[in-house]
Amino acid sequence: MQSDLFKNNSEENGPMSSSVKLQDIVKIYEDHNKVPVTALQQVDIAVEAGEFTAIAGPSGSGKTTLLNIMGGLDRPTSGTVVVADEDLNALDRNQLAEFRLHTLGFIFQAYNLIPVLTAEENAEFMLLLQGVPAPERHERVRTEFASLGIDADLLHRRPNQLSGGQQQRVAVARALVSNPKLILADEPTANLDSKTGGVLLDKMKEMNEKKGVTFIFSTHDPVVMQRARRLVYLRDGHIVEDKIQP
Amino acid sequence: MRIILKIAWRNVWRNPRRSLVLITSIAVGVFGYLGTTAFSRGFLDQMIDSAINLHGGHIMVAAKGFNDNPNIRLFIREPGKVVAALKRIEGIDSAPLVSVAGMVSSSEGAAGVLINGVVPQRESRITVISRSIIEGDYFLSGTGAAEIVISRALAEKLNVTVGEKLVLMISDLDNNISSGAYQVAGIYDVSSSDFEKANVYVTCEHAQALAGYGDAVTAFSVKALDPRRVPKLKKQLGEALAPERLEVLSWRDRNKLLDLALSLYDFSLFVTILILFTAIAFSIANAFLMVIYERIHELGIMMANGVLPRKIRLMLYAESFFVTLLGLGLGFGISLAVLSYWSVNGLDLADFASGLGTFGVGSVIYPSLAAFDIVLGVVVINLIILASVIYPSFKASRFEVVDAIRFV
Repeated sequence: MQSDLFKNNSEENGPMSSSVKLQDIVKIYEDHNKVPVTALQQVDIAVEAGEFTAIAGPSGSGKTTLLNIMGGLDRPTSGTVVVADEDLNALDRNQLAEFRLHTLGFIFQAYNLIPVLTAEENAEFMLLLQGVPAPERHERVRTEFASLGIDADLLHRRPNQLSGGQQQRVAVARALVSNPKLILADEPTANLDSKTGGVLLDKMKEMNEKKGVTFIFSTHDPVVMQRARRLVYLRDGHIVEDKIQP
Repeated sequence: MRIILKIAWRNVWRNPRRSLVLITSIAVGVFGYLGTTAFSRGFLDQMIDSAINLHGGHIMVAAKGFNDNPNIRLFIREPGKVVAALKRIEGIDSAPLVSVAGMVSSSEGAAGVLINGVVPQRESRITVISRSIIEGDYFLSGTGAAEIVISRALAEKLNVTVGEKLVLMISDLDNNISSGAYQVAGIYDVSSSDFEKANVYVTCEHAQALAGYGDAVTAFSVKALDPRRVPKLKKQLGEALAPERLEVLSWRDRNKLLDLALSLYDFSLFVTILILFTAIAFSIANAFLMVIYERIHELGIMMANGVLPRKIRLMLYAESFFVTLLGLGLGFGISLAVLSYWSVNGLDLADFASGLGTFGVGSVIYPSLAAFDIVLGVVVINLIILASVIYPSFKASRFEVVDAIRFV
C-alpha cells in the first residue's frame, strides 16, 4: 500500500507508532435466519500511524464490520489483524479489553455514554480504568471539554440532561482524553447537525495534526469524506477504491 | 474499581420501583427468618429455663437408673457421702430432694401427682417455686407442721384454698399404703400447666416418712452459680461419686427431647434460612436477568472501552450486594424493633397454642436472638443472593462486544 505517503507530521510531535494491518480478512456471519452472510471478502488494508482515514460505502458494504475488527470488537472469520504491533487474533477476551483500554479510543454513532455517570465521569471513564490520579484526570477532562466547547456547567449533568450534540462532544472527549494511539469512529457525525459535526471534525483533525493520533472513520457523511486525507471505498465487502485526497 | 462500584450503586436507583420491590422482598424474608428464629429460640430458652428452674437445677445426682425409671426403690441410700462430695465443690448451691409418685385428694376430687419433698430454705435457691407463691406461704419455716404447697391449677381442680387440708397417699417401699393429711400452706403459679398439675411440695422429712426412706433421699439438685461451669462440675461430681452407683446428670441429660431440639436447632435455622432465601434468590436472579437484558448495549459500550469481563461481573455482584445490604438493613431494623418490644412484653399465644404447657413453658413467649442467629442470617443471605447473581453476571460478562453494541 501507499500508506507511508499519508503520514502527517505526527512523528515530529510524539512517538506515535501505531498502525493497522489487515490481511485477507474474511468475515462471514449468520443472519437471524441462520443464513451465512459474507460481510468482508479478502480485505487487505494497512493504515499507518497518524493517518486521517475515512472508510466510506453504502449501507451493508462492511464499513462498521471492518472498523469493529480493527478495534478488536469483532473477530474475522479468517485473516490476520495487527494493530499497534499486536496480533489481535492471538489475544483472549481479557487481553483484548486491556488492549482497547490502553491503545484505542472509540466514538460511536449514538453517543453511547453511560447513563448513570455525569458528563465529567463519562469523559474520565477510561482514565479511571487506567488508574490515572484524580487531579490529572480532572485537569485533562476539563482541558478537553474546553477545547471541545463544552461548558463547565455541563460537567455534572447526566447524559439525559444533555443535547445530542453535547453528548457526542462528551463521547469524543472520552475517546481523546486518554491519548489513544488510534481512534475508531463509527459514523460520528451521523446524528449531529452540520455545525456540531463540523466542530467535532475540526477538533479531531487538530488532534490528528498536533498529536499525531490516527483516526479511522466509517462514514456516509460527504463532509467527513471530503476532509479525510485518505478515502477507502467499500462495496459488498470489497475495497473498491483507496485514494489519497488533496 | 471505585468507578465500577459507583456505577453499581447508581444502577440500584435507575429503576427505584424494581429495587424497592427487591429490597422489600429481602426485608420481608429477613423478618420471617428473624421472627421464626427469635420465637423458636425464645421458646427453647423458656424450656431450658423451665428444665433448670423447675426440675432440679443444672445438675442432679440420683441413683443409677432413676432418671429413666423414676421408681421409689431407686434412691440414694447414703446421702451423707453425696453431701460430703458437694461440700468439697465451690460455686454451687445444692438441695436434697425426695421424689415419689402418689395421689393427692380433697373432699372434691383426687389427682395423681409427683410428691416433692424439699428442704425449703435450700430448695428456694434451686427452683423458682418459693418465688412463685401467689397465695399463702412457701412453708412456715421451722414449724415442722404437715404442710403442702400446691399449684393454682391443682387448687382449682381439688377446690381447696390455703389453710384447707389435703390427703397424700403413696405406695411405700414395702408396698404398703402410706398416707397423711397436709394443710395447704401456699399456692404457686409458674405458668406451666402440665408442671402445675403434676407437682406438689411437702417438707423433706414428711416425704421421707411417707416413703419410708428414713434419712435417704431420691436425689440432690445442684445449681451452678456460673452456668458456664456446668460441664466441668458434672465431670467433677461424676468422678467423685462414681463408686457410689450414682449418676450425675446435667439438665440436658435429663431432658432428651430438649437436648435433641437444641442439637438440631442450629441446623434447623440453616434450613429455614435456606428455604426462605432460595425462593427469594430466584426472584432476584430473574430481576437481574431483566436488568442485564435492558443494559446489553450499555455493557457492550463499557466492554468496548476496556472494561474487563470480571469487572462487569463485579459490577453486578456489587449491585446485588447493595440491594441485599439495603434489604438486610430494612429487615433487621423492622425485625429488631418489633422483636425488642415482644422480648420485653412477650407475645401471648394462649388463643393459638394451648398445648405449650406440655413443653414446660407458659403461653407467653418472649422471643430472643443470639449473635449467632444474626451472623448466620447476614452471611447466608449474602451468599445465597450472591449465588443467585452468578449466572446473570456470568452471562453478562460473556456477551460478544460487537453483538452487545448492536443490541438496541
